[in-house]
Amino acid sequence: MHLYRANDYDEFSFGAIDSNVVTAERIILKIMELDESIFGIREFQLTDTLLFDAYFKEAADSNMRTIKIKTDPHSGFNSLVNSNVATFCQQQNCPTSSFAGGQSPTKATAIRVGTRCFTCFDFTLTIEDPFVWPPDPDFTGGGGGTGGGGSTPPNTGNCTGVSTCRPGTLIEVGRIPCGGCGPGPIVVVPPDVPTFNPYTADTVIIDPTLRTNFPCVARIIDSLTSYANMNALAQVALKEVFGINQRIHLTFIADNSLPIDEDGHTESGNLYNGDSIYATTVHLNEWMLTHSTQEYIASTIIHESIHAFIQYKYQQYLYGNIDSTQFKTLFPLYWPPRSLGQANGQYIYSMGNSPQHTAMAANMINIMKQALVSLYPNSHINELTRDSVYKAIVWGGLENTPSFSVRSDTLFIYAMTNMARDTSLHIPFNISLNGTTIGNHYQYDSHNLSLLKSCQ
Amino acid sequence: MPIKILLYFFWILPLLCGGCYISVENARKKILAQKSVENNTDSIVNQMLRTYPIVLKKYSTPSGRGTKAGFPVDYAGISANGGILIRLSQKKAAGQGTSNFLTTLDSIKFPTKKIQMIVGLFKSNKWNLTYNDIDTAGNYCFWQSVKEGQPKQCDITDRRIYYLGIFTNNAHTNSYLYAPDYYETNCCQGNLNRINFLKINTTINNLWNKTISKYN
Repeated sequence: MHLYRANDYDEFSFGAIDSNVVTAERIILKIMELDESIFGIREFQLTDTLLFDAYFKEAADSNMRTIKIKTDPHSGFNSLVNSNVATFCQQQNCPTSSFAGGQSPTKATAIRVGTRCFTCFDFTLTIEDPFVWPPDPDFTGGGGGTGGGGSTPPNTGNCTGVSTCRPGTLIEVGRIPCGGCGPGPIVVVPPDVPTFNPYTADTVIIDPTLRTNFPCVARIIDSLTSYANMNALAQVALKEVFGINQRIHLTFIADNSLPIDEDGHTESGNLYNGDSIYATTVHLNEWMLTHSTQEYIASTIIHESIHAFIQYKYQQYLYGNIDSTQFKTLFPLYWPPRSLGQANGQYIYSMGNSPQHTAMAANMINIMKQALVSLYPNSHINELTRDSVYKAIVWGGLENTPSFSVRSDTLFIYAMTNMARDTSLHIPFNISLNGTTIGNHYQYDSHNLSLLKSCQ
Repeated sequence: MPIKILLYFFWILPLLCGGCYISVENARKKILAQKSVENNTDSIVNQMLRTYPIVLKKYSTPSGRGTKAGFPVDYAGISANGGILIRLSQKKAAGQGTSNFLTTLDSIKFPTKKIQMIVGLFKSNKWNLTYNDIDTAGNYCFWQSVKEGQPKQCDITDRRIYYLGIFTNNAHTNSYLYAPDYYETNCCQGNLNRINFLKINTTINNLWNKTISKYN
């Protein structure tokens, strides 16, 4: 018996995955199998450009490569054998056009994930079945092990510690420290870069631009993560986005390029397929993080996260991972949405900005308000006032919906969103809409309501 | 600056341009053909129409989270002889704790060359002056991709809505576009309504940016 540790893989030759001798790739495949069967990890990011190089030839300069397992979850490594099971993707520069969300990777498919673009192609593993692990190699330094046949001798012998490690030879997820041959425990070092790490289930990434400059955003997101009431749709959404569903991978970033009047937006994001991780990025305007109340910032985070959730579910529908009935149950007023047409035997619906806001306005106002109440109970004002103010704040962003236009308190909503958005406002203040002053507000501002000031 | 005082400057017009007159007249006919039934209640537009046969108005607001104040509002007065750009802005008054907003009007000359470019856009019969894709911005891209044989969706949330109004004394048109720059540059190219709007928007913004950098 021999113990193979993850960082030992480069002691063996790099080469074919169907080799009948131990290669670096075969060790990595074995580790992938263990990760998949034990932890359910189905996506791997490679940082060693030598690994699987034959399969990534077309863009040798790429510094980001991923392998995605396409079989049913937890079906074991045997199902990886002799079938079309893996998708290799490598990052490339995003062109200005011809990349779009919603595409399933096929052979040499171009896809976009957030701000990154990849070229992906399916690959058929042709390892013999049953998978026969070759005999342990000869560790005396005398040869390439009993497998022979093209495997270069493993570079063993004296361990020289960390200095033997080449930069970029570590597997990012749960990486093992360099130079660790010889006896002793295996120490798993957490990644020191803010990438998705399934070991710690960090489904929400808070960009350093936020964590450093706006620490309270992290606190808001942590609070949302611990907030739960599974009976309500938006709370399910929040729970899925912030804590439970590890397949949604949100990255929050502070964005100073947005116009002052825009709070943020959510990129369309993408799924490689219906069972994979949905990754997207939420941009939060630095002006808002600096000038708005925490209640308003939290409401914006909730709003954008629900966009992410709806897009995730819609893409799951597109990939056939959930059916139209499930989707309809989640978003009753979405159905029937405007059909754009049929493609590949499936109806494609208009699920853009406007219908998403329509669904939020029709179904989720009270639930979003409850999330705010839970985060900021605010004992300085009476419940009735607090609830009406919080409800108005969560209406922000939904002013173009049919549900909003029939309300009688739209002026109050504009006033509350304005004062919560800009802590420098004091009563009385005027309210403008589309270049015209539509009224004045004399009752509440963030100061007499004791709302919490900004996220700095 | 009070509008009345501002309007005195409108009368200082450049030399006549025969070809420009025909183009402006053609543009007026197109606006009349596609006019909206709503009344125009914008007092600045009405003031400008006393001098200019065509007035453009544009502003934008976030479609999602953000303030919907809609400032700045840009106006462009167009005639065969030249034109003017007016910008209506709202700024908070200086001083601790104040919440008063000051509405200001600024104006700069609209160069004839730029006007010719804009009235030239009206030559196309395919430009829909009442184009509105707030609810359906992704549809054009979907059908374009179907034509190209690879159906795809291309949607984005919480970007800006742009308004473009084109006014004459007898008629006006309203157009609303959702994230036209995103759809035209990142998603699919070739929507004439977006292209023409972006040309107008960029032309006017560049003229203001030039002025601001010159005097700031």
